[in-house]
Parts: sequence; structure tokens; C-alpha cells
Amino acid sequence: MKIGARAQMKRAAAAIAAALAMSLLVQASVAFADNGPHIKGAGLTPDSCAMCHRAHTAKAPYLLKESQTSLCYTCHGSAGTGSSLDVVDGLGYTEHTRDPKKIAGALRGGGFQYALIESNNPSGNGYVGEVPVRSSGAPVTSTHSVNESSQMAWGNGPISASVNYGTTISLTCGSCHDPHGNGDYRILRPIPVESGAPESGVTVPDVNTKYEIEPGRFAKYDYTTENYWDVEDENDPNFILNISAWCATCHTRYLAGSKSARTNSGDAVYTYRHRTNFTSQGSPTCIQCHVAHGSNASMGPYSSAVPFPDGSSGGSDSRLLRIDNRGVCQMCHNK
Amino acid sequence: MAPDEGGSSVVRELLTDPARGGGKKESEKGPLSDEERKRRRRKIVALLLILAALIVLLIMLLRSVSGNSPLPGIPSDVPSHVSNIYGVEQPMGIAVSPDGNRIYVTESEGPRFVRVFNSSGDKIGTLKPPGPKGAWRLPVYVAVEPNSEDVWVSDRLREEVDVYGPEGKYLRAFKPTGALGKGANPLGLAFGPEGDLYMTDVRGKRQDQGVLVFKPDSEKPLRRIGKPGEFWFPNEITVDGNGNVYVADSDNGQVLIFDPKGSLASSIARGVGEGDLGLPRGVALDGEHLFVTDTTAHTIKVYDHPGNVSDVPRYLGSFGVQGVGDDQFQYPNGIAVANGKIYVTDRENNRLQIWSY
Amino acid sequence: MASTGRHERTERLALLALACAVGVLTAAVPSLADNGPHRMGAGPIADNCAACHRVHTSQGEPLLGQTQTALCYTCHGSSGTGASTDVEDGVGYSGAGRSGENGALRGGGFKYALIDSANPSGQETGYSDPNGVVPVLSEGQPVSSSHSVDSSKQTAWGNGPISAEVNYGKSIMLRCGSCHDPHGNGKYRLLRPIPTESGGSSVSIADASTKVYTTANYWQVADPNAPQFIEKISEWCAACHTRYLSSTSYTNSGDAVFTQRHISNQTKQGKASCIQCHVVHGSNANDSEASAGGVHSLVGVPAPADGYLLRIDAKGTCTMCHK
Repeated sequence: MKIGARAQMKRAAAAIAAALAMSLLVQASVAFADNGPHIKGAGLTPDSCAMCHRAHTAKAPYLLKESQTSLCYTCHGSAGTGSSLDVVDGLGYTEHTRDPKKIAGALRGGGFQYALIESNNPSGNGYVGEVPVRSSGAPVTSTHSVNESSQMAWGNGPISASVNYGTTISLTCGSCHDPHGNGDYRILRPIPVESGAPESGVTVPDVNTKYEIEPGRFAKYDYTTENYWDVEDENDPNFILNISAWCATCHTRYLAGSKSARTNSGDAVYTYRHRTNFTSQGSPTCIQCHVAHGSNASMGPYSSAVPFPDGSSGGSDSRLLRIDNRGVCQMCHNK
Repeated sequence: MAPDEGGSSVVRELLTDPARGGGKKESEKGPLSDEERKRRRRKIVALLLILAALIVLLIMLLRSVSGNSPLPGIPSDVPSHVSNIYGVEQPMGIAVSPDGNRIYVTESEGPRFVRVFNSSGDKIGTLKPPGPKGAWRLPVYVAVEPNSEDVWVSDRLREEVDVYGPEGKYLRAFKPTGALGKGANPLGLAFGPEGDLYMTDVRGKRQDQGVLVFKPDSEKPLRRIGKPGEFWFPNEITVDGNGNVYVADSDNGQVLIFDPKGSLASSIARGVGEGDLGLPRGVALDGEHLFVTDTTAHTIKVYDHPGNVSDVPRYLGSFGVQGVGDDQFQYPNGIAVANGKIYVTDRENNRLQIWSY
Repeated sequence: MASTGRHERTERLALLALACAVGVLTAAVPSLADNGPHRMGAGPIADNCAACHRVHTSQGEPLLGQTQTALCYTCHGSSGTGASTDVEDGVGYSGAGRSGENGALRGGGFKYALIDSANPSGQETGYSDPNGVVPVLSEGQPVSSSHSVDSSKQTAWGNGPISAEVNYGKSIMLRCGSCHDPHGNGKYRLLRPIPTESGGSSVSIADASTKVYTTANYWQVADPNAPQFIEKISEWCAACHTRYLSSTSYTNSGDAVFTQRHISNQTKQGKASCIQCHVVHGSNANDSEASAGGVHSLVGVPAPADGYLLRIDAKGTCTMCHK
């Protein structure tokens, strides 16, 4: 075949592909709740598959199997030059020029290597509280480890009179997030992988409306925060309503209702438990005290002496807490 | 067909030459002795070996015509692996001084330095901006200004470009200003033939992402390339001797090629066909080739460098597959060409690779 | 919706500013009167919560790592190495932890006490002389009575108002935290102004300028570093033991059980206050005579075989004043 003819065909093919891609994008902006390539219902002519999957040049069956987190970090890592969310550094790149500290934005979930939580400087209490944002990241002291190693999902499983700490699972980004998009909040899986949650799971519905995150700037998602104590998502009330139940798909026995602090649950390990099943900002939900990805909070002598549920040493692990030591207790109890 | 005929005639000659064979005379004497049988067998083996060698030579000749020979001296479409340099954590961007004596590699993990190696792969220094303590910086892409050999490094966390002298002295921060430049998030960097600085800009709003062009002594961009919404996280950028601009428009899965005036001239598209792209991050040119790192395909794709900018570059082949072997990649990212060599950052293998024709 | 959110945020910030201002004013008062981890106003990034509480894996309520008394004994028990006061053995140390000279705890102990209850002396001129002596033992003796702090339910004798009907007092659960506030409250010995479940009214005793937990004389009950202690302690005890507080010894109270009562509301050393005769934690005093005879022979209630937390054996407590 002559080169010129090939080039012409290529160009035609490219034009068709571009047209298809354009039509897909137009559709996407109207109909799909998810972001980026993680679009639910990619259709019959999907363009986004090729972003992560290679039909012929991939070595592993699903390509991702070997190093899923590396793949996610290609866009969302510190080396991430393909997404506005750098989950390693706990940074969201937006045009938050209002931030006097220059940082583009601190990710609500913290980060896996650095986080921007000014955890030593909380103020207020309960609903009217503030945990400010740092001007530069501090190394994290605890994370949800997503390196696919085996680890304990503390509290996984039903109440047990015999000692049962949880279930050993392997955690990756995709354990909680559905990379293909599912139309739910932060593409959270209703049933996290290996969680053993019941069939229906817990869905945190997405809200498909834009809101003004700063004067003149409308967006559907605001991944960043200026106050780590303000944990609700003003654009999506479903988040704070459902998040404790969602966390409990893995950490089953951490979900506790009223009077749980003074009622023996019958569990050998998780016997008396702080109530966690609230559904509003400033109340004890999981997310009120803990971030999801990683925290830079530091722990003093008493806090560091607290072991993990199985009695193993916790060391300086900050348990994903938003405030140094047990400041999260003090926000409400102020002893 | 000519080589085939030649080969056949040689074989025929060998089979019939009495002086070389010597078996005819003995065979006339009656049934073959064991010794004779062995000798004949040896001859046949020798003949077959010669035949095989000829076939191999023939194949090599044919391949050299079609252009896939790994042998030196015979032109090929894709380069061969030369060596690897270790001692970098999750490297992203790479640039090399024109003489090839200084290799600059950005790290995205660990201390997040720009590491400097010499052509032998020895560490000769590190670059880091003043100010932030710890590793609160994130150098991503790097370019060497060809005349001064100053080193320009984009920093994603600091949202600026840090400029170092050729000896590694920190000179200044370059932060785009003006109507076009304010709020820019610099990423890919390249210098054009007139000395202009080309910079990809991945600021928050997708419709504002694009390419900014500067005179290096001014932080105000001269112009902007790309229509609103045309780019989605453009990464590396490179400019050829005619001023044509090649941009890895990463999240759109394409390489966009602009003429010197900034009009879109051609592109290489995303797809799963031969030569189509997945997640292109790095672009580099030598005189004859356009190299594109396809990060999620774990390979480097090679295209011709068309004389006419509006021609779609012709796919020639690729080098490297996924793996941890010497010539294998795990998420290759940045690419640079200098002094006849091709330098690629091999992110998840924590090294850089050197290839050459 | 968005603008509402912003208004809310502004309001919240305003409230926050107010809260901060109040916080600054409060913080200006240097009132860290408590000790160890029991510090009032532990601050916004308190570490010491974790010393006792487990939020999700608690083995005792309220969200404690162990049952409450066991937890307190972790520092304050025999094997405790975290406090200078060993309330089980009735021993206090002069230095931090278990260092320095040891002495006898003013309140006695829950397992052993060092009260030389057999050898009282002094107060020669009766209740007008405050200077009696009950010496200290060099070695602890097992206690014969204690305020039981094992979280079991028991009768708080005399709790509740004067009653013509027979009413001995209500059943309450007693543990360390019933009387002491482990979070610190700036009061004398972290005493709760209203003990848990007491139903009493608030009695607040100002803290000591210098904390001295030990004594060399169990008849000297006033705390020279905390004048309010002797002034208010009877009233405080009466939060639980309501009907034991009496201003006279000669009047029929009208109560079916606590009818005639010794005066107990005195406020000076050597006078009839609760603490003059009783220790608070536990006593090794031998009151077999009283047990046999049933000093507090409440109608229908057998007298418990113990020493009633008295400081002196048998009727020695009475004879200190009533020669």
C-alpha cells in the first residue's frame, strides 16, 4: 500500500474516531455522574477503555491485576499529571485562588504520603469547629494501606462472643472505588471488594447538579476543603447520611447505635462502643473523626500506647484521625 | 529470486563435485561400509548447516530491506537497548544537555530531587529549589535551554518553573503572569528554534488547559496554543527545527501537532489499533523519528517525522514491553533525545533507560 | 442553596470567633489544679483521653479500656506504677510514680491500711482539745471495712430526706468515679460536687495549695493546705448519707430509722465532723464489739461485720472526746 493512501485512511479513521469521541463526551457531560475516564455506561464505542486497558500489549489478563495502585497513581499519584487529584500528596488542583496559602486545595480525604491537615490547631467544638489546612504537606502517620498487602479489616463481621478481630483482606484503590464508574458518590462501590457486605451493600448516591463553590465558579464536585472539621458535602447530603453505614460494610462492628457506650454488645473485642451511626455534620459519624485516605496527625505518649484491637502495638499510627492525640474527643467532650 | 537461485546452485555444486565428495569412487565398490556411511552423514550435516547459514543470511538481507534489523550498521525503525541508570525514585521527566554529558531526571517520590547524571551514569549532583523543607516539592518535567544550558524544571506542587544554571545554581522561579499566564499550572517544557519557551498548562478548568509560549526572559506569555477544551492534561511537549509543535495530549489519548502559527496540523489518535495510543505522556524528536511514550501500554511508539507537518506521522513500530527486564518498562513516562541516544524514564522500575539506533 | 451554605459558614465562623475569644479568656486563668492525666481543661489536642478510653474496643463502660476500678488501679493500685498514691495499700509516696519516701494515705486503703487504731491518745480535755493522736503503722493491716468500689449496687445508708416511713437509703452503684472526677475538675481531690447517683446538692471544696496525701497522725484530719476541706467535708459526705448530717444530738428527727443522731456538722479539727471519726477509703480498725452489738442496728438490717470505717478500735473513737 502506498504511504499517501495509508495516511489518508488513517486520517479518515482519526476523524471518525474523533467524531465518536466527541459525541461520547457530549453525552457524558449531560448524562453521566462520574468524572474523567471513569464514566458509567461508556457505550458501544468506548474511548476510555484504552486509557487503562491495552487489548494486545498487556501482559496480565486485566493489565491492572499486577499493579493497580501504580496505574491509579499514574494519574492520581504525586507523579499524577493526568488528574486534578493527587491522592499521594493529599492535594486537589483547582483554581481556589481565594486560598491565601497558595495551595491549590487540600483533599478532603487527606493523602497517602502527605496530608495538609493542621491537626495541631483545632478550635471551636462539635458542629462549630475548625481544623485548618496546612500550607504545605506533612508526612502521614496513618493511611488506609492500598499496597495490596494482606491486612486486617478491623471489626469486619458480625458480633462474636469469641474473640474475632476482623477479616484479613487485600486492599487496593479499586477495593473501594469502581474505576469503571458507577454513578455513585466518588465512585464508591456499594459493596467494597472482600468486605463480605450483604448483597445490597450501601449506596452513597451521587448528586448530579452543579453548585457555586466560589463566586462565579460552578462545579459538580469539590474535592478539597478549607476546614477538616467540616466533613459534610454541601452539594450531596447523601454523603453524610450514608457514610457511616458505608464504612461499616468493612468495619462492621464499628457501627454502633445509641447507648452502645453503656451497653455490652456481646462482642468479645468490640464490647462497649462509641455511637457512630449519626447522619449529620458535627455528630459522631465515622468521617467526623477519621479521614479516608491518610492523616498527618501526631500522637503523644498516651495515644501511642493504645494498641490495635488485637493488642498489637499501634506505635505512632494516628488511626486516620483528623486531630493530634485525642483532639477529636475534645471537640465534643471538651474535658 | 536471485539469491535463492544462487543458493541452490551452490548446493547442487557441492552435491555433485567429485573432488569434494569423493564418495562416488568408493560406492562403485559395492555396499557401503559403516565408516563410509558415517562420513557421508557428516557431509550431509555439513551441507545442511551451510544451507541454514545461507538462509539466515538471506532473511537478514530481506529484513534490512524492510528495516527491522537489530544489527548495527543496518538501518532499523526502532532503536535497541543500550543501558539503564538506577538511583532515582519514580522518575517522571528527563532532559539531556546537547552534548549528552548531563542527564537531568526528576523524581516524584522520596526526596523529590532533580538528579543529575553524567553520560557514564554517575551521579554528579542534585537540584532542588530553596525554601520548602522536607520534600514538599514535585519536579515533573525538565528542559535544557540550548544556548545557556540553563535547566528549567516545572514543579507541580509549587505551580511554578524553577530555573538553574548549568552548574546547578538556583537562579530564579519563573511563574507565568499576565492575562494569559496568571493561574497557570506549568507542566511540560520545551525550547523552540527561536529560543522561545513552550509550556503545557494544566490549570484546574479543563477549557483553560493548553500551551503557552514565552520569551524566556518574560513571564508574560506571547500567545496561547489550542482552542478552549481542546487539551486534557497535556504533558510533554517538543518543537522541531521548523517550529512545529508536538504535544502529548495525555488524557485525550492523542498527540496533537501544530504548525508554527499554532494551527492544528495533524494528530495521532487514541485507540487499540496498530500505532494508536493509550496514555501518551512523553514526546521527543530526532531528525527522522517521533517517539511517544505510551505509559499504560508500557512501550515507546516510534513514528516517522513527516516532512510535511499536515501528514499524519507513519507508525514504524514500538520498543519495550511491560516487565522488569533490562529492556522492559513499567509505566514509562518522560523521553528525551540527545547525542544520538534516546533516554526514557521507567517510573515503576525506578530507573531510566538508554536506547540507541 | 450555595449562598445559604456560605451564610451558614459565615455564621459558623462568627460563632467560632466568639468561642475562640471565650477560650482565650478562660485559658488566661492558670487553674490547672489537678494532677497527672486528670487535668481539667486538657486542651483541644489532649493526649490523655487515650490513657483510659477506647472508643470502639472498650471493655468497660463508659468506653474504658477495662472496668473502671481496675482501670484506676492500673495507676493507683498495688501493682500500679503510674501514680504516687497506692489506694489499695493505703500508701503514698513522696516522689513521682512510686519513688521517694512512703507514708500512710489520709484516707486509709481499700485492702490494707496503716492506722495504728489500737493506740489512740490525746484530746485530754475532751472535745475542746483538738490535739489527739492516732499513730501510723509501719506495716499495713488488712482492712475490716471499706467503701466498696467494685461497681456493685449497695445501700447508701441514710440517703434521702427525713422519712416517717422506714427508709434506709437508696441502692446505688459505687466505684472510684462515683466520688472522684477522673477528668479533673479543679476541686479538692477531684471530688465531684455532686457524687454520682447521690441525688445531693452541690458542695464544692476548693483545692489545696499544696497537695499532701499522707499523714503521720490519723486524728489530725484537717488539711492545713486546704482550709475548706474540714469546713465542708461533712456537708459533702451528706450528699449521699443525707440523714447522717445533724446539727444537734438531742432532737428527734422524725425519721423512722435515723431518729436520734450525733451532731456531725462541725467544721473544725477535733470536732464532730464525719471525717473526724471515719476514714473514707478503708480502715483496719477492729470493731468486733460494735459488730457483735450492732451499733448501727438498723431495724431489719443485720449489722455488717466490719469496722464502719472508724479510725480507732472499738469504742475508742467515742472515748477520744467522751472521757
